[in-house]
Amino acid sequence: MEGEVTKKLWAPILIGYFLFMVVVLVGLRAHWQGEDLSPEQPIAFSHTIHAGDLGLDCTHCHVYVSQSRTAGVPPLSICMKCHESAITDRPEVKKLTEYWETKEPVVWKKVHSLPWHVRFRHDRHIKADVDCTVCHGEIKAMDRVRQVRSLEMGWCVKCHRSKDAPTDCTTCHK
Amino acid sequence: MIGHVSLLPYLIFFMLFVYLSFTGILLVSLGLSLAFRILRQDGSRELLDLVTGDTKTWIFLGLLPIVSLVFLFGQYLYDAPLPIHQYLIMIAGMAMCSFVVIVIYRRIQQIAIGGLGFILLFASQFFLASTMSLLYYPEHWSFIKTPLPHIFSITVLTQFLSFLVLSALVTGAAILFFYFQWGERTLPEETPNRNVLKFLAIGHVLGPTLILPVVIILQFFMVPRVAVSDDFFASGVLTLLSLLVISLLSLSMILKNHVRYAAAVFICTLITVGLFVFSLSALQATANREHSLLLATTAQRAQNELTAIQEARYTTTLPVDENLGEKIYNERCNACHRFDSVLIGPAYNEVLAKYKDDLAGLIDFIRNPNKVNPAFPVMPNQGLSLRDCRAIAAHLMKVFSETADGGGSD
Repeated sequence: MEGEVTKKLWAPILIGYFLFMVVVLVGLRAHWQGEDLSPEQPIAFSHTIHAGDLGLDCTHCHVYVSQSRTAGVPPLSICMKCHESAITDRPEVKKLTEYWETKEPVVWKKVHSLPWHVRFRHDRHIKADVDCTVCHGEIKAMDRVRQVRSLEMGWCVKCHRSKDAPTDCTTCHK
Repeated sequence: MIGHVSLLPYLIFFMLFVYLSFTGILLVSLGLSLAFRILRQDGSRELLDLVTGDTKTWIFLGLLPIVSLVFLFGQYLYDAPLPIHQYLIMIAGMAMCSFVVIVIYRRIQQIAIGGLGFILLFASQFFLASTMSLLYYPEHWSFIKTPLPHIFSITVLTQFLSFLVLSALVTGAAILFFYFQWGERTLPEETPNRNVLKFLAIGHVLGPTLILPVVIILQFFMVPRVAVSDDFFASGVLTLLSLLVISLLSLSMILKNHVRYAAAVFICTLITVGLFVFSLSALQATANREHSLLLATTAQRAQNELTAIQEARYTTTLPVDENLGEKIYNERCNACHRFDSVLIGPAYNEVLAKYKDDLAGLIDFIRNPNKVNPAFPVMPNQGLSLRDCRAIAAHLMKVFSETADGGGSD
């Protein structure tokens, strides 16, 4: 009799075990969803068109990258320099013009974030001739920008070592 | 994306699926066969015969997939800073040696030979797991001087563990199916050790189905975040569900002491292996997306250059289409340029003078613009064909000379 009861218990135990694992997996997914690597932007700006097809330099729009800590999201005036007259009929460009005319800032979503205790300077890396693609990947082949590097410390240190850059803790940490 | 590059992931998936299933069964059944022989139990030969039946099996399930994988990855990661095809050639060599040794073991049934085959196959599987793991970390490729320090990382061990568990699962299911349900090879009732084999098989199914979920979760923690995609998660969840079905079927076979579900278990196991390999492919495809994009762009550029050369050969002799030039002018150039005033680009009347006797130079510039005047942004490449460029250059020079002449006469 007792054996019979145990026999009947096995199947629910198995189902419970697997469902638990499914829940863990879905939970992990939900947890990771929070840090979206490729967020949808308020204007579907395409790097494929601008940097890829048209062949514009990164610094054409990201003008501060060689002079400041951040590369800087380009001000709308840079977009409008061309789009005031060029290709004004596309819906995304119309959106842009609307922002420009109503003097509303475009709230772009940040894609590449570093923890607060890391201080990274774009200008130093540009001056050391590090190509943008080393950290950002082939942006000019991306319609929507996606983070393709882990930006983890081990990876930074590997590159610093290979290029004889300082690996002192205070070089990158506050 | 260029045709054949986008086909590669599917082929890689298929070849990995066949290869991992075959070598999995080969590895575990060889191990079991050796164990039976050492323990002087009957059934050693049957275990090995499971998948090593004839030459065709070896060629289509073992040799062909691994050699294809070498070529497929050689194509897929062409020009990558990691010589992945060299590692795969080494793995393929090792696997082939092990195949030869196992064939010899089948003939002469000596434990030492079988042991050597087992070690070779085991090592080649381990290196395959470590090579697969390297694929998930493209950002580290350029720093890898020798792959040796990377083959014992925790990611590699998890990956290899998943290969082993999967191998045990598929072997158990294969023994159940081939020896207990499939007409041709069913073991007769009086076979010695028939029951031992049966419970061994069911054990090899049930054990791995319970361990694999833990390994899958572990793997989710190990793999780099930038390689994770929705496909990877979805195939993980589906793998778990298919494992649940397998475990319930094999539980029923143990409790009620029958083998009626052997075929169902075998099919579900193959689906599980397929889903698992799909999750690996998804991981690898996401991690290496940037490289395949680069490859596609490079191929596209090469193709464009080729077309340009061919075009140049044919179009330079054709008459220039004047209407075409005017049409393109109104569609494109007009957006940034005027003849008499500065807009986004400079005024034509100021810049065209230098091309007056150099039409070819103007055509070259339109085809491939470079920065001339720092006061203006560099002109974007319009992606025009040589025919278009000749037409537009002729149109520009025509209007320019007309206006310049007009201005002169005034």
